[in-house]
Amino acid sequence: MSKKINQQFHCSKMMLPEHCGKLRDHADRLEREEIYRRPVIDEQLWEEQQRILGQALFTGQQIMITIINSSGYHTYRGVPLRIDQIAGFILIENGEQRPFKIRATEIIRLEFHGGT
Amino acid sequence: MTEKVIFLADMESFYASVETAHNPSLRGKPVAVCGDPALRHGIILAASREAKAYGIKTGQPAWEARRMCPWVVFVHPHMQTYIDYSIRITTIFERFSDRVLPYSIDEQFLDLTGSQKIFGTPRETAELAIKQVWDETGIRCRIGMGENLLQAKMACDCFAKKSPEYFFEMNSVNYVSLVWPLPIGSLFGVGRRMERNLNRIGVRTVGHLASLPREMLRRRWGINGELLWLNANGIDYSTVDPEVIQEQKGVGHTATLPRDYRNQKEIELVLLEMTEEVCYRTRRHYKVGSTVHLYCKGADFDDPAGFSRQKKLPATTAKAVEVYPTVLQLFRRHWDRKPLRAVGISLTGLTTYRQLQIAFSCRYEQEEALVKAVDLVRERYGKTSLFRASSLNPGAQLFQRAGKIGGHDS
Repeated sequence: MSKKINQQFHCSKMMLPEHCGKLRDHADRLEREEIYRRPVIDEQLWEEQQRILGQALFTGQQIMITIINSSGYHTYRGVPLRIDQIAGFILIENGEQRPFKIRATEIIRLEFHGGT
Repeated sequence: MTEKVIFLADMESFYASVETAHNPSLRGKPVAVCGDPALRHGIILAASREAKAYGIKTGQPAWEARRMCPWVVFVHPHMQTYIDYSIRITTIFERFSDRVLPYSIDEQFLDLTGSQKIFGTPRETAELAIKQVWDETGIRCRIGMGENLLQAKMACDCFAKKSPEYFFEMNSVNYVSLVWPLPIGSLFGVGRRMERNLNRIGVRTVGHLASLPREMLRRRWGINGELLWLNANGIDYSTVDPEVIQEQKGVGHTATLPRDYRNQKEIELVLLEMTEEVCYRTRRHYKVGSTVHLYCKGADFDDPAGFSRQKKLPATTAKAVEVYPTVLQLFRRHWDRKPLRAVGISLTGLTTYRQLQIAFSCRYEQEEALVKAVDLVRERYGKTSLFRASSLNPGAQLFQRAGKIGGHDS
């Protein structure tokens, strides 16, 4: 069957190229969010990770944090300096000039560097 | 088989509603969005509900609107804002279904088949969607529902827009009693010219058309005739498939000229600028085209002259220097020397850049590097940062059109 008969609304669409471009970007963003959606973390594991974080903060031990966000998976290594529970981030010192922030809601894995 | 539930959501006076939502001081006033009359863009693109109450209609010249309502507020279009609002509305609809198909900047199809248990009856779902769009954007939308896209479109255009509930439900059973008595011009796909043709063979209503033999219409108007017969009978095979947005069949650019162009050199200059623009956009999609299409519209409304012709390029390309000679050939062969009001160029038969067959030309790499360098400069510093010297000649349109979307201010 002819494409025009099969998909007449696709054939008669009135879209500006700029609109199509934005829709493509939107679809890409949705796809990325779907692929890199944060998994539900088991409560026991979560408690264990909080314990590791508390201990590292107290002893100054290095930890490895894996986060997930729309740009993919990222792993960071460093010493936790501060936990801001209200703003929801952890301040990490990793030898760079400035400590950097990690959003607590993006963390999926947290462990001592080199294991415990 | 489960019957499909398709919605078509249409935004009321979209451009005017966005302007009002964006600038609350316009609320309650008769607002009309129109371009610059000095550049022949002085027609009403959208009129608010208050402006419509004075009889102002889309497509009307601005001076006529001013005569109907001297206190009408004219607003210049802001195309980028309209696109942003349209995407926001798409995002709202995506809460209801993952199958959302934007049909134009202010119309979107939703396939809600199987979602009835989540959001309630179609009417409840539509009410919820209308409320969310209104609460979050300040834009009123009307929803037509049908068992296919055509029925949803007809329900929206012919009934939901006039309904105080902003919703209308249509199905294959009530389609006949609702749509068949309507004048033939109301049917989706019937333009003014087709309406005249159909009137000539005695077809006045949708019902008349539906009762004609399908074969006869096919013989007379080909696929278009057959499609009209299907539409008249409420049959449509289209699907709400957002993936299809990804497909790009061609890249085109059409512009209404600020005055009637009579001088060949001036017209050819505009054609060169448009070829550059089309090729640049094609390259941005990493595509090359095999056919160029030229469209020229005559200036005289009473004697509509002009032509629309296409020609295959010697080799697939997306470089203006290779496409322009074919554009010129088409133009010089078909132009009847009458003044022109609008011109358009499109590049079709797109294939991906990687499939490009390289000819034995020692300058290929140099040309390629030059084109890429020019694109990079334009992408970073704007279209007017690097241009052909000919764009400084009288009649050139590059500077007027730079930064515009769809020919209107962005």
